[in-house]
Amino acid sequence: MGLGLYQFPKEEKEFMQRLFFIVIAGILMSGCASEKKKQELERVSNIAYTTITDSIYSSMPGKITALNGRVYWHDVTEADNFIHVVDASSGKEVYSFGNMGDGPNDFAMPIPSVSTEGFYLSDLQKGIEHLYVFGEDGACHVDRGSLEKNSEVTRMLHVGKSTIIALTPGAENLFKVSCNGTTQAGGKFPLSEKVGNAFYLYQGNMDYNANRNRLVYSSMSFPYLATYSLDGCKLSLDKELPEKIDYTVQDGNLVTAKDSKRGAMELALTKNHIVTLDRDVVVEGEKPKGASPRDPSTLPHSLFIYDYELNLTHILNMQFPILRICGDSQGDVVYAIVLSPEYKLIQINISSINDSRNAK
Amino acid sequence: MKKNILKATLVAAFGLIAGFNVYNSQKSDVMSELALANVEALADDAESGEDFTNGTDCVAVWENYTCRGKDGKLYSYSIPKANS
Repeated sequence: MGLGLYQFPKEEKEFMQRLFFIVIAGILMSGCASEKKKQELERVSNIAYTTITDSIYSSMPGKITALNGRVYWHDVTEADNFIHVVDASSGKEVYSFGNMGDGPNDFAMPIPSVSTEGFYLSDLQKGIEHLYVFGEDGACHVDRGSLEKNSEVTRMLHVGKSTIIALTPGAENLFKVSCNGTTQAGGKFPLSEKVGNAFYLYQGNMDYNANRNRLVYSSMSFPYLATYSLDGCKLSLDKELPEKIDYTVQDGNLVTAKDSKRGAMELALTKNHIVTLDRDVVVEGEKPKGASPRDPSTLPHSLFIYDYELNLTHILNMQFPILRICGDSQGDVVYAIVLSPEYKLIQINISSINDSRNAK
Repeated sequence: MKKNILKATLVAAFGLIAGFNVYNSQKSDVMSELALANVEALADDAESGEDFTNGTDCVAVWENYTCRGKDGKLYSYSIPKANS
C-alpha cells in the first residue's frame, strides 16, 4: 500500500489549470491598475525657468494671456494703455493699448481673453468688444464691435470665431454659451446649495484647450476643479475634482469655515497639463495673516500640475511668490508674473517633468 | 610703527570684508526699492484702500474677483467686505 496521491480526472485537472491562470492574470492586472493609481505625487523644487523681462512696472499686474509667442499683461492700476504686449522670445514690449474712461472706445471693466482669432478686450458693462490682431508686418489691427451688456458675467472665453463662453456665477446656471446667434445656459455648480452670495462664491478661473476640446473651471473660494467638453453650444461635464468643504448657511449665504482651504488663485492650460497656482502647505506652511489683503507674503509659491484626467502628478515649488500664470496650449509652456525681487515675467517649460518621471 | 600700521590695516580690512558679507546675506531678504514702493503703494492704500472699502464695501485683493459694490458698480480684483 503506498501513499498514493489522488489523481484528479483529466477534465477537472484542465479546469483547475485554467482557473489557476485566470486567477494569476487577474491578480497581475489588478496589480498593474493599482500601481498606476499609486504613482506618487512628485515635488520638484529645481525646475528651470527663463526670465523674459523684468520690466513689469506696475503696482498690480493683472491677468496675463499668451498667443502666438506674445504675452499680454494687464496693468490694472493704469488708465492709459493698460494692456502691454511682450514678445516672449526677445522680452521686448512691442505694443500697448486699451484706455479706461467714458469715451465710446474706452473701457470701464475690461475682460481680456485670447482665441485663435486674436486678443479680445470685452466690456460687458459698456457693451463693447475690441479684437486685436497682429499682422505679418507686426502691426496691430483693431476690430471694434459691440456686445450685449450683462452684469452677471465675471469671465469670458472666445472659442473660434463664433462661440463665447461666459462664467455667470450668480445666475441660474454656471455658464452661458453663445454660438451662431443662439444661447444656451449650462454647467454644474460645485455645491448644490442655492445661496444668496453665489456671485462671490462660485467665481473662478476658466480656460479652454481647443486641441482637446476641454473647458476647465476652477473655483477660487474653495478647492474645486472641473472639465467640460463643448459640442456646438452645449457644455457637458466630463470630470470634477471636489474636496470636502466645511461650511454653514447663514441668512441665506454660504459661509466657509474660518481658515478653510481656499481654491486655486490662478489657472493655466498647456497642451498636456492643467496648471493651478496654489499654496503647498507641506512645503510653504500655512498662509500667513498678512498686514493687508495684498501683502506679498501671502502669495503662493507653487504650481500644481494635473493631467486632463484631473490626476495631480507634480507640484513645482518655486523659490519666489507667484502672482499670475497663463499657458501656451500649443506646447507645455507656462508663463508667470513673479515677485523676485521685483515683478518679472518668466517662462517655465514643464514638458521636462514628464521626462524625469519616465526616466525613473 | 610700520608693524602696527600693518596690523591695523589688516584688522580694518577684515572688518570690512566681514561686514560686507553680513550686508550681502541680509540684502537677499530685503525687497528692492521698486518692490518696496509697490508694497508701500499697496499698503498706503491703507488710506486710499480704506476710502475704497468705505465707499464700496469691497476690499482689494490679489485674486481676480469681481465685487458688486454697494454703489451698484462692479469692481475688479476685490471681494465683498463681508467675505474678507
